[in-house]
Amino acid sequence: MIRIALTKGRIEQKAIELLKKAGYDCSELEEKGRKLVFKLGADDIEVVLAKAADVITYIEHGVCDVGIVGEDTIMEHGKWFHEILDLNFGKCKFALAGIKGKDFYQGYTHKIIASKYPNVTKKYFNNKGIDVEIVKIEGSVELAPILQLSDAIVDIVETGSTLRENGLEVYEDVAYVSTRLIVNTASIKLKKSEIDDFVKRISAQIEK
Amino acid sequence: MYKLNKNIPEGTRDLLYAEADLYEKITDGFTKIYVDAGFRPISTPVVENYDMVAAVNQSIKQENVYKLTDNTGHLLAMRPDNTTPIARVVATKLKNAAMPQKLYYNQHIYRINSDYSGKRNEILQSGIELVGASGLKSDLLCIMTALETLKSLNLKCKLEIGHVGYFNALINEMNLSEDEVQTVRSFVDAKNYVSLNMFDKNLQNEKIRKLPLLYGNDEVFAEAFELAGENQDAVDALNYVKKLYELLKNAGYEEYIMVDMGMVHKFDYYTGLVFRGYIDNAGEPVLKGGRYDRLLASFDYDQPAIGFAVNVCAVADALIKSGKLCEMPSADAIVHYNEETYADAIKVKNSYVERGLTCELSVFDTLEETNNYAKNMNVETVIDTTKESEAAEK
Repeated sequence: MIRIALTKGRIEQKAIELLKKAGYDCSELEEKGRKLVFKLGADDIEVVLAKAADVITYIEHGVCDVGIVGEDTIMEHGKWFHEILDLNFGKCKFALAGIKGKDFYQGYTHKIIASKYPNVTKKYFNNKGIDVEIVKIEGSVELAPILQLSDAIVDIVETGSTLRENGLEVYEDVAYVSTRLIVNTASIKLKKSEIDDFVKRISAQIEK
Repeated sequence: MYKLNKNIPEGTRDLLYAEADLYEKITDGFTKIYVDAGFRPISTPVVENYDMVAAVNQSIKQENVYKLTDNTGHLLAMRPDNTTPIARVVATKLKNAAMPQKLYYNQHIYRINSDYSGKRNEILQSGIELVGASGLKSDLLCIMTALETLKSLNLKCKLEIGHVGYFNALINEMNLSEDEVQTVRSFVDAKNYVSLNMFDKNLQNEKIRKLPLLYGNDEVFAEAFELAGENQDAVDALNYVKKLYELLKNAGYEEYIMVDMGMVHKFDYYTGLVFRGYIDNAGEPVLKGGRYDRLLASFDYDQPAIGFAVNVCAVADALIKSGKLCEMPSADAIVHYNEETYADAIKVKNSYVERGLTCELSVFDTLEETNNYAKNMNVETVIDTTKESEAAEK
């Protein structure tokens, strides 16, 4: 038996499409109600729905074997698992953004960055050799530069319309991300044939 | 008023009763396997000089080490690994001893993990080090001992073997910069196919992409030989693993072994054979080991060495998850006595012990309290030695 942890929400919809294309029976998953654990038809596969960061926790602890999760979450929370496939959906980017027309790198004062992704932000500026102060924001990060809490934000940008409507713009791209298939380090060895089979069926259906 | 903090530090645990007993049983079982294979015990201090820890093992980050200071202000570290201190002992106290040295240990290591990760900061490790010997037979001895420790747990288990010489030979022929080698190494180690593929787009070297796929059983060798091509170093490393694999297979270990030629480590610490052990219900490798022929040289004593460590905490957790935690049996009997019958009580106790049973001496003054205790602890028989003495007084 293999157990898959699937990120709730947008990734879930796309992933179910992919699973169906690969020939898995997702009827239980599509009429989910309040259930949290599902069977994929007659296949010996169980699916659990979880928040993105929890998918990683379940995989790292080995309570789930395979995870479907965004690269953004992996960059922020991930440590130890195998990243096997790029599922090629849920594409977006991390960007540094702020008030339109401002030059972020101008001036000598210590820069403040607001983000939901403090680890990604820290790594990005560490690599550039720039010291910044990071403020963690839970909700709409775009508010931080508007309220002058921060000089800029690091956030996920898909279309950029939220930025535009609030007088902000992308200063530079930090990283491109998409949805990934990850596998626990012990499962990949102990359940090799089951996981190989699953990966083969899925990878044949990934849109190029 | 000052409020006492009654909690224990993050990542540590109190163990009680059957769980505490389980840890002892695991290490006792392993110790027997090590001793039968000719290994002798070693124990080193919990604290070491920080300089040594930092200089010798680069895979351990500064922020993950518990640091203290001694009375002169020097920085100390709570040992973050067991191999380095043992190498230190061999290079100093055993410098004039006959080689090889076969040593085993059961002691804790300490590492600071991030909060709420559910990872242990205090880990009991059990393992062996074989110092001063190289070659097939010493590698075989280590691998076999590792296999026996895993098998003794009676859970589904696998030991996978690989050789860092294979990866190193292939990466050398690619003429990458040191930074690029380090990047590829960490991607292959993490079997991060996605990042490897992206990396390879710039590099145009198909071999890199295939490296992490080289795991499984016999069938791996054909693919790995193809990938090695004319690279003699890679072929040599592969031939060596194949030879070991076949020896172990013929010795009846086939169902427990696997090969992973893509097994490298983030840091260039191992120098030859490497292996990892997996058991059911543990989400990480519970056993890690390999040949490290350069470590002793950092202590000015150039000796080859190989060893492995088992994460006893992970093993215990897996055994508990698999329903193998046995509640400890109650005593077979309890003796109630008074000052006059103390000698009789000891006789009764000994008569039980001689029959291979267990018998407690009651610590209570009244028979009623003794009976209550026996009831709470599920002790079936209560022997009251005081009746006779009272009867004798009358």
